[in-house]
Amino acid sequence: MKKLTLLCSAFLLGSGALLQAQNTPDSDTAAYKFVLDYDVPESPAFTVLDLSPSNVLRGSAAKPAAVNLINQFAAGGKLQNGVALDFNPYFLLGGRMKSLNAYRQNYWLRFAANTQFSFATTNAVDEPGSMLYGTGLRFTFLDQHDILFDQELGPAIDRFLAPSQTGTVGGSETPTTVALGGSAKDSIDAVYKRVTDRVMKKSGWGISAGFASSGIVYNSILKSDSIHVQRYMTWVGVQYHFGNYFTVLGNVQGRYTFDHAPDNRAGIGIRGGTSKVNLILETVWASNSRPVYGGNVEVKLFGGLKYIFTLSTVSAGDAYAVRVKSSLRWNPGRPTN
Amino acid sequence: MNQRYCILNPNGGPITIRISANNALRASGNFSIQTKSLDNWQVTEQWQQAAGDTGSSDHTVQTAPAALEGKAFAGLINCCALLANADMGAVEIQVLQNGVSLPLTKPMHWNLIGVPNCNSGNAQQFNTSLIFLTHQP
Repeated sequence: MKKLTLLCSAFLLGSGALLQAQNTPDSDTAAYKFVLDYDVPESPAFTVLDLSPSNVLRGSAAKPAAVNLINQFAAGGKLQNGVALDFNPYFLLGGRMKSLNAYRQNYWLRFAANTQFSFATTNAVDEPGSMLYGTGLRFTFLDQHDILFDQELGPAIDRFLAPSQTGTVGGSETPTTVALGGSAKDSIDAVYKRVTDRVMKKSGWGISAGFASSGIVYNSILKSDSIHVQRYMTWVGVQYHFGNYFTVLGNVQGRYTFDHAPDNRAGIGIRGGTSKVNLILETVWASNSRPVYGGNVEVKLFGGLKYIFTLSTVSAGDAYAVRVKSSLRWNPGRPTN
Repeated sequence: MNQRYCILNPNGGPITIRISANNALRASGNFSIQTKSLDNWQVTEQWQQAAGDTGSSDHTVQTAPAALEGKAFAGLINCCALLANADMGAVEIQVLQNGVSLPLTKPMHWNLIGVPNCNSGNAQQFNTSLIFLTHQP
């Protein structure tokens, strides 16, 4: 009965607010999200080109791809369409570290190991035959939620990683990639989840930054006079996580182009809550527009039902308007949501 | 197939197996001492050993050096990358006696690339083995 009363109240409140929302300039149905993306992008080169990094070549593919790319540059050749690279320059250039303990104890080694370089190209729609490119770097200065500092992670992985059978005398010694057995994989997954949960219950800081530039290669020919830089972007992200409860986030973003005024943004937000209630609050200041204030409360009800209440400001000429949204979301596929 | 041999002193100290891995790779193996019986190798001693957080670990073989003549050491090793950016590195196994590395007719050293991340459910696997020979200095 109590749940039914709550549901009816939420529905009535939601209906009224939805009517109100329809009179605002922007009545999209999506719940309020952060206006500013507080995470420094993993692949700044893709962000500066407004590309999705889903086709990024990672891991082992990065090295041969990078070598091919360097060969093309060196030969002054024509770039292939849609090259997408995302790799760590320290390891690619032959950097090594002795062990996990060395990673934990040496700040600069850790900094190098977590630096990410990205490079991407795509066709220039406005300049047929030419190509847009983006390059970017991402640095992690501090991450107090790095799970590699957890003392359980490594030994637990070792325990489940060990083969159940021993080697054969005179057998082939060529390394091959194998799928771990179901129980080993499940056990390692459980270790990662347990360690991640434990680490996220601790308070701590995270500081990262990124830089990217994009440009155009006219006629896709790599010569000094055919390459023109068009845009620079920078990010600095800072966050402090209060253990079980809230995370305070701050981010400064700058976007500079040669034919437009700089677009600088700074924001501060709070994200967090409990297993039943989530809260997001944010203020964003922008050099080219009015500040935006907003936030939402998301309450998990029962049976996959959520109630979401949203408030945010929108510019209406010289004044502010307040956008109010209230909605119910039901996901029958996730009753415990 | 080139069989690998290791020459040890039957009157020396116990044999130690050392496994090392760099770049924070996890290398965890199932190792054994095996004795040839007719045409088959039979496991007489078996253990699990991993390079660990320090990148290196030692295990002392229980079988006495003098009894290792003609016996084999074999291992099956799984490796995965703990650092998302470090999917390459080296794994090495050394055989030591009295703290000194024993000569091998072929090194037990692997340069690995494309090692799967530990949370991927995959691993890079390789086998290794050698046969002990004794030589009294």
